Amino acid sequence: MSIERNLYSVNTGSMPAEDELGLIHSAQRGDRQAFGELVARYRDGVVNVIYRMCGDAELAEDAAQEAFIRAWQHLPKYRPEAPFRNWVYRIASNVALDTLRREREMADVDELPIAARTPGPEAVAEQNERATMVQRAVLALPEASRVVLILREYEGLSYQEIADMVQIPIGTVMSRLNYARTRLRDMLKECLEAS
Amino acid sequence: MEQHVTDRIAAYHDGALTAAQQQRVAAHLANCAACRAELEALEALTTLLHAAPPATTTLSPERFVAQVGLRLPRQPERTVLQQAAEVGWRLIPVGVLGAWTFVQTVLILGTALLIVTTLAGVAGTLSPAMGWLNHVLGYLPDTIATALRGWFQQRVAGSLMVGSVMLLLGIAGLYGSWLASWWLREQRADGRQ
Repeated sequence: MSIERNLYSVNTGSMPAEDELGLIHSAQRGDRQAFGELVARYRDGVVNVIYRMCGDAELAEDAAQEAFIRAWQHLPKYRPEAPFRNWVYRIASNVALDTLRREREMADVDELPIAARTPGPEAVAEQNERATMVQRAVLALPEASRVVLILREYEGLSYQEIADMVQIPIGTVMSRLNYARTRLRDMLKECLEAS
Repeated sequence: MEQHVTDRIAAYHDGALTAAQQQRVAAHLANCAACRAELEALEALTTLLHAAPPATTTLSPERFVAQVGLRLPRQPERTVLQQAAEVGWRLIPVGVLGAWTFVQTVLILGTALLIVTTLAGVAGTLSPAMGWLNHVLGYLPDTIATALRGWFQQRVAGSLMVGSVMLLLGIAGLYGSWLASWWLREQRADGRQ
C-alpha cells in the first residue's frame, strides 16, 4: 500500500483559535489594529520563511512587510477553514520567490552577508562557519525543493499542510523533501561527519 | 530478516505515519542497525540545519508592525456589483430549479393539450390551429387520414419531449460552464496571492 495514503495529516491544519478568528474577522472588515495584532503574531515566522529562502535578513524583513501588505489586500478572500498561519506562509513563500527573481544577485551564495559575521572566539567562529555552510547549502537547493524543506524543517509544517500551501500532491512534497535532504547530506557531508 | 523500512524512515522522522505504522517502524528499528543509521543520519541533518540561526531583524516587533500599518493601502472594498455577483452565484441553483419547474409545467400542460387535441382530432373536431391538417386529411380515405393524424401527433409529442430535454441539458451546460469559469477565476486570484 502506498505510504502517502496512510500519512497523518498532523492536526495543525485546524481552524484558527477563537480569539484569532475574532481578529481576522475584524481585520477583514478593515480594522487595521486587529490586523496589526495578526502581524505581530506572525512576524517572526514570516520573516524567517523569507530569510531561509533568500539568505538576507534585511531583504527578508522588507519582503515580509510586502507579504503582510499582500495578505491585507487578499484578506477579504481568506476562509478560516485553513489555518491563518499557513495562509500567510503561503503568501510569504510566494513573495520570497518573487523577491529572489527580482534580485537574483541575492542568491549569489558567495556573497551572503552571514559570511561577514565578526569572528569571535574559536568556538563561535566555528559555529558561524558551520551556520554559513548550512545556509549556503540550503540556498543552493532548487527553489521548489528549498521551500518544501524550509516549511518542514524550520517551520514544522506537516506534509499535508505543505501540500495544501504549495498546491502540489503530498507525494511530490515527499519526493522534493527527500531530494533536498539527499542533496544536503551530500553537500554537508564534512559537517555531518564532524558532528 | 524483516524487510527494511527505508522508504518510511523519513515519514517516521517527520511524525507523518499512522500510530500503527509508527509502531511497526519502531519495532523494525529496534532490530535493524542499517535503518537505525538512516534515521540517525536524518536526525543529524535536522540538528545541523538548526545550526543556521533565524534572521536577526533590525526592526523591533512594534516598529515592524507600525511600518506595515503605514504601508497598508485601503483594503479593496467589494463593489455592489461584486456583492450581487456573490449572492447571485448562491442563487443560481434556485434559478435552475425554477427553470426546471417551468419547463416541466410547460411539458405537462403541452402533453395534456396534446391528449385533448388528439381525442378531438380522432373525433374529427380538431382545434382551429390544427384545422389545416384536418382539411388536408379530409381528401384522404378515413383509415389513411387517421394513421397520418396519429403519426403527426406522435411527431409533435416527440419534438416537444426532445425540445424539453435539450432545454434542460442546455441549462445544465450553462450552469456547469458558469461554475467552471467562476472556479477558474477564483483559482487565478488565489495563485496571485
